[in-house]
Amino acid sequence: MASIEGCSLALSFMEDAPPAVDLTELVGTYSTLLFRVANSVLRSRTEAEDVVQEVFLRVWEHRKSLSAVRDMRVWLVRIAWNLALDHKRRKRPAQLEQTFGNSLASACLPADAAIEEDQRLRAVLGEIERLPKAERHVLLLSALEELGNSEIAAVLGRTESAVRALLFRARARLRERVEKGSKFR
Amino acid sequence: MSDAEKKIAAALARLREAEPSAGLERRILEGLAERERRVTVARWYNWRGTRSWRPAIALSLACALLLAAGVTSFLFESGRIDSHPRTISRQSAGAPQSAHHKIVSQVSPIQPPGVILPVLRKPHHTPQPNTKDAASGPGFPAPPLPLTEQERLLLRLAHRNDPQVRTILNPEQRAAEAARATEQFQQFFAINAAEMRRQLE
Repeated sequence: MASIEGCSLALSFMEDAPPAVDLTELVGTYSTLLFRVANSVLRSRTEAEDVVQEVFLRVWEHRKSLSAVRDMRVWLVRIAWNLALDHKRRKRPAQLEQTFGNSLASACLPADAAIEEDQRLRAVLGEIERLPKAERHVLLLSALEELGNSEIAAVLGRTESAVRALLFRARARLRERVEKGSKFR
Repeated sequence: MSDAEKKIAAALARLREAEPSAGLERRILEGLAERERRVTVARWYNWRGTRSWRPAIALSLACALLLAAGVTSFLFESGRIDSHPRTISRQSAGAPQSAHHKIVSQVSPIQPPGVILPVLRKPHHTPQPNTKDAASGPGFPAPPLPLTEQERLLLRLAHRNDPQVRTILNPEQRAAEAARATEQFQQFFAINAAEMRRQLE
């Protein structure tokens, strides 16, 4: 936790004391974003919701120092990201495969189209899982389209240029692998 | 856009468009309220419990230990005195000695020195100082100590010119006293003989 806050927390004497942060407002503003961040890692709705709850519990524990957080959005995403990774480490790969795509397939499609869609999603998400870790992380965070490269860099503790390079490589590698997979099918 | 790119975009869009179940915010806020309530209760118990009272408890324990040590030492002292009664007579030898001096000064004007000394050897219930040692010891009151040579000399000097002593030592006065006693004796018996004769007649 200390490492999470390390780069984002500013010393209170360095800036004017901002007004107290309303936790209810934070929940309303960021819970969906945090859910998506956690869900992109865990691919499980219930587990992602657990992570979001855990994030806000941690925020509540540090409520006295919230006013010193420079970028609340990045700070919260970073907590959610790290908690989701912790959850994923405790999860067996089989469990991950089982829930792959279950919550992602569209419910409004016909049954055969839904099955086909589900297969395509599983294939692409499987390829994403097989990407190198750094590339995968950058790709998943950028997929949310709510975080800019600088924010992704802050969450992952990398430079912005490194994030751009990783994202480019990840997309290229994934495209190549998906194309390969399509040809073999 | 190639087919692969479409597939990737579709998959990432699914990730991007994922929605949490309804009521997530309410559940989060309820969880926070529950946590706050627990923490408040825990703080209350901590405040009531040992954490805030630790210094006071430690101080009380220290006081209790000191008190216990004091009582123990007091009892130990008492026990030591009880088991060795002669110790107290030696320790409190000063008090009886001063009492003897008082007695001597009171008695000596009417008694010769030869008579005073045996009287001093008798045990006296002189008022003792109100000390714990003297009160609790079984050897109370302590036996009187014999007078020292200096004390005896002082006694003799103090009673040098007593009238009785002078009477005993002066032959003229002693003879006068004896004559007076004889006269009184004879007078007594003479009166009695006259009365007896009168009664017989």
